[in-house]
Amino acid sequence: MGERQKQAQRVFLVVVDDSPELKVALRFAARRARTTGGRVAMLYVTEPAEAEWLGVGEIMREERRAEAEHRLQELSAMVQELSGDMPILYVREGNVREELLRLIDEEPSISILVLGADTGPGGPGPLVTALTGKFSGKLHIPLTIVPGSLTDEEVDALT
Amino acid sequence: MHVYLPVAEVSLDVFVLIGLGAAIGFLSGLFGVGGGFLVTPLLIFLGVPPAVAAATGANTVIAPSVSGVLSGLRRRGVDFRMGAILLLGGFVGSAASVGLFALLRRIGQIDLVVALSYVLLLGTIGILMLVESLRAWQRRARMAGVTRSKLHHHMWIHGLPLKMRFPRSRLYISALVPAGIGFGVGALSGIMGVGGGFMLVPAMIYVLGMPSSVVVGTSQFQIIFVAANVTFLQSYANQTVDIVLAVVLMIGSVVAAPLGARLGAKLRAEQMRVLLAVLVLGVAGQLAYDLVAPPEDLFSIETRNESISSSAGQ
Repeated sequence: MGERQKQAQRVFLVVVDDSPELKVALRFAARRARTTGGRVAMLYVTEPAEAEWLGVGEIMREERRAEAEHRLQELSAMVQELSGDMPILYVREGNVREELLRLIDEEPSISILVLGADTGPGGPGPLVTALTGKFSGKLHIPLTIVPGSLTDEEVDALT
Repeated sequence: MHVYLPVAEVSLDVFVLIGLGAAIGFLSGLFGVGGGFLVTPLLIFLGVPPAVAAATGANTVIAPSVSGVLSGLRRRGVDFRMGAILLLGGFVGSAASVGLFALLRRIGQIDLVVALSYVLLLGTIGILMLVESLRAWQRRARMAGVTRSKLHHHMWIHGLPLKMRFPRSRLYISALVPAGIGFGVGALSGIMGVGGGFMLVPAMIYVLGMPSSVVVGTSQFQIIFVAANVTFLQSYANQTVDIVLAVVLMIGSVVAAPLGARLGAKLRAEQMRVLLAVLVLGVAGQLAYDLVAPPEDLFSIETRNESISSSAGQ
């Protein structure tokens, strides 16, 4: 993608997981995308098959892929409503952190990573902890951390 | 450093045994369904009598299964209700096969039966592995028979009575089916000292129709208790569990196996699996050869074993 186009379209990447703060991060990203003329991208990382035996691995991959597509479809509807644009979808298999960093390296169009943080006593979550700590040097783009405790109205007021 | 194994009546190097644990872990990592089926034959090659190898092998799968279930719990990947029914069948099956084990031991045929069943099992596993990994290696399109088209296929099995609901697996099926599968795998576990994950996992997918996200955790859940039961029954009924061997293997499976498993999961390449299939077939071939080749020493362990077992029986 050319330099000009990159500037023209800011892509906000959100990592999809089962956490409640995902919705907050997604809302933030979608609203920001709308106001700045950007787009939302979502990454879903499926777990690799635990077994490779008699076609079991193949079935695991297939079912996880279907689950990922189903989830992304639901979230896409929400993003579309908030940002007015269809999000870019990525489905990868493997370790979440590794695949996230790889995707950012491979896709220069992705300009900002938006992560939701758990505000509970258990810490912000593994991805935020890794990317602000040990792996902060591996991240080549800015990172926005959205506290999961924000309400919809608070997010809307910020964006 | 050699250690004397009191029940097996041989001395073996501790580090070789721990290395065996690592190798098994590596295998589990490559296939994800446990590598316990290689413990017993490798112990036989090291000189452990087949009856002792089979009875002692079962408990090596317990430790990796416990850690597997714990990580499965975090991902909600264990169907306890299904696991309990499988377990019920597993208890009955393993008790029956330990009884058979005792009978065969009394008539002096247990070593032959253990070795023969391993030739059969490893031969089958090796061929299936080889075919599958060669196919994957060549990146040939998967055949329709391998991937299941529908989650709930109607079969004669669904006409059986005692229907039960399994919410985690989203199934409504007869409890007799998982109980029967548990029985079969438990029986295998009693005779051969394997966990049985390599049979349980495909059976759960293709016969029961469970979602793949819960099969590995649930099979490990069942294996923990069946393997513990086998170890207990074998030591009680047949006195064929070598505690020293069991402890050393356990150390191997706790310390070394996770390292091997991590490496195996990383290297999960088709080429590796082809090599492994060849290895499994090689082990089966060696076992078969040992069965028919004239022994170097005609007056070997069997005679001594006989006297020990008959004196123990008195």
